[in-house]
Formats: sequence, C-alpha cells, structure tokens
Amino acid sequence: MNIPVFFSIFIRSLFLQSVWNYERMQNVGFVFVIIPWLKKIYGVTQKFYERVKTHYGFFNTHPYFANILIGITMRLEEQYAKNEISSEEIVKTKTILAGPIAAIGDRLIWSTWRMFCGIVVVGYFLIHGKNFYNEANISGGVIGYLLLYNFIGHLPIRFFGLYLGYEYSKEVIEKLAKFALQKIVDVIKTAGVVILLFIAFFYSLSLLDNVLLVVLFWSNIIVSIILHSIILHKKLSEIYIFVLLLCINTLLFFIFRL
Amino acid sequence: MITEIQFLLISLIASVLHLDTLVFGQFMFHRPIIVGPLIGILIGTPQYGVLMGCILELVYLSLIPVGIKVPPDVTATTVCSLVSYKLSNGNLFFSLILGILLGILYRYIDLLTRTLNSMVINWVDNAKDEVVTTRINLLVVYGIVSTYFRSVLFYLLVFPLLNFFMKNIDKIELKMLPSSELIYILPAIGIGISISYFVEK
Repeated sequence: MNIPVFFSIFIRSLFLQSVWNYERMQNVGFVFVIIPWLKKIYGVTQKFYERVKTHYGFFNTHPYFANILIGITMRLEEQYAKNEISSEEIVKTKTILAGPIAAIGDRLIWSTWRMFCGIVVVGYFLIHGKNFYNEANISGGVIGYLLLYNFIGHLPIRFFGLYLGYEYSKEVIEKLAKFALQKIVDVIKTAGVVILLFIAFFYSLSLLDNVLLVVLFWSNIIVSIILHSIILHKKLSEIYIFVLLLCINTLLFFIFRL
Repeated sequence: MITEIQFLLISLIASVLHLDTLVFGQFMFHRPIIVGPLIGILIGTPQYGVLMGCILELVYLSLIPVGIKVPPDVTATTVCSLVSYKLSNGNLFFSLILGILLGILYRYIDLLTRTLNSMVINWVDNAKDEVVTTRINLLVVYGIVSTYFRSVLFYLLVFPLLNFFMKNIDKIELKMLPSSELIYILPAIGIGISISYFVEK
C-alpha cells in the first residue's frame, strides 16, 4: 500500500461526519476520505468522476469503525479497476456491512469504552473525597483521560481498522466475529461496576462528619438505580432522573436547612 | 463576575470544542470532564469546572448517539451550567437546570443544521465533473465553519441573557436555596445511573 496515501486517508477519516445530513448521512465525508485512493487508482479521468458520484450515495456507520469499511472499499475498488467485480457489488458490500459494523461500534465504544474511561477519570477525582475539586490534580486527570481514551481505544481502532479492512477485505468481519468482542464488553462493564462501587464507598467515607449526608448519598444511588431500571423500559432520558432527584434534594436541603 | 472579554473567549473556545462532537475527530474534547476544567480556567475557577464536569459527566455518560438519535448537547450544558454557577455566586440548582435546558435547546439547533445539510449536499449532484472534488472539499469546509459559527452565535446570544437573568434573580433571594452541602450529594445520582446502565445492558 502507498504509505502517504494511506496516511492521507487516515487523516481525512477524522472528517467523516463533517456534513452529516438526514438524507444520505455520512456520504460527503465518505467520498472526501476515499478521493485520494480513487485518484491513485484511476488518475483524474472520467472513470474517477464516475466512481466519486457512485460513492456519493447513502452511507452511515460508526465513525471509528467506518475505517474498516473504507479499507474494504479500497480493496474492492482495486478489484473493480481490474474488472474482477462489478460496481454494484461494492455498493452492496458497503450497504450490507455498514449496519453490523455500526452495531459493534456503538456497543464497544459508545456504551462501553467511553463510559469506562469516563468512570475512571471521575473516579480519580472523587477518590480525593468530598473536596475533590480542590485537592485533585486537575490537569493530570484530564490529560490521563484523553490519553487513555484515544491511545488505547479510539486511534488504534481507526488506524488498524483501515489497515485490516484493506489487507483482509471482507474476511475482516469474520476475524472480528472470532475476536470475542462480547467477552471484552462484559469484562469492561464488570470492571466499571466494581470501580463505581469502589468510588461510592470511598467517597462516602469522606462525608462521615455528617452522617445524614452519607445516608442521603446512598439513598440517591439506590433511588437512581431503581428509577433508571423503570425508565429504561419507557425509553426516557436519564436527564429526567437527574432533574427529578436534583429538585427533591434541593427541597430536602431547604426544608431541613442542611 | 465575568467580563465581556471572558464571555467572548469562552464562546470562541467552547465552539472549537463543539467541533469535536460531530464534525472533527470525536477525541472526546467535548465531554464535560474536559470542557468543565477548561472553561473553569477561563473564568478563574478551575475547581468549579472539575466539580461541574464530574457531576455532568456521570449523568450524561449513558446518553449515546445511535443512528439518527441525537442526545441533548453535553458541551452546551456544561458551559452554560458553569457560567451560570459563576454568575449566581454558586447556586448549583439554578445553574444545572439552566444548563440542561440550554443543552436541549442547542440540540434542536443541531437538528436544524443537519436538516439544512440535506439541502446543501445536492450542490455536488448538479456539479460538472471538473468541479466535483472542489465542491466536496468546500462542503467539508462548510460543515466545519457552519458548526463553529453556529456555536459562537449561540453563546453570544445566550450569555447576555444568562447575565441578565442571574443578576435579577439574585434580587429575589436566590441565596435562600441551599448550595454548599448539596454539591457533595449530586455525584451519587450519576453513579447510580451508571451502575444501573452497566448491570442492565
């Protein structure tokens, strides 16, 4: 693979959602990303413009895992240029794979890895006790969060996704399926719950000078768990729970002059 | 007290962080835990920033953008909560409620922009071959510039209103509402929501 073109595609992939729209979603970003590759294969010819317009159709998947599909499309475009496959097959592959790849990305990144990193950094702050905002090393926590999230999860997925998508083409999906992603998700989620309980326990120790605060703290945890379990089935936002409990707590503090 | 220069600086810097939400990278610079301390430094109290960042990070952790679902804007919520907190001299209740409402308002502006984008993309369909790539590049630039200036405009309109609101509401005994001890309890709500989310999904 041509290294400068590969890096150009990798950098451009960061702009995948720059013109996200309801009609064709990530189509502008996808074409923007793949233009250097199409230029490399076809040069600036009539065929190049034809391929650009073909790829301008609907496209939507997870922004990090999209690089796998971009890599696969790069390989398929090479095959198309050699007349080994048809244009319809490329479009069909993009359409078929976008859904499953988005599902993996949403589950692994948005609802697991991002949450886990958030919990780790909040845990780092809260572990300093009730005056954490005065005592913790702010820049250390913030930089640590960005390094953890981006250099262990985000950027390797984008970089190797592009490489593996190109190298193994459609086989990469089978390799992903064998990767036991569900086990990784389960392990991260279990670790997340343990960290959250650990944070709650040590944080509440710092409130011990006022026992009522400790009681209120744990009551809030229990009530929010119960409310969240209820609204989960009603598809309401978590913000409602927060606003409701914020109002109740403010009222309690007002009445009892805490 | 926040000066006009500080308001302008917050608008310009927060709008850069807004780009990370969708149009560039998603490096998580737009999360409350990053936005909070950064804006906190700009208004001279990074501690408030960490405080607000931690509380909102936990609550907004489980709100995820799946498909066409767009959650309330977490960056606008954090920035507005923090600015209100400073303007109200530490009234947590009002600052959080206002921040959340403005985050929901920003979400609707975001949805409107996405709808407008659907019209703009036809510009490439009608293009002659020679200008197709130029137009695609220009569309990407448009996406970044429009998102940036949309956010700047939002904050420049919202901050004077917040300033006016907080100054006047202070006259009607806002100080009656509790603040200091309430701060210690609020992380519990986010912790509970996150535990429930991890256990159930």
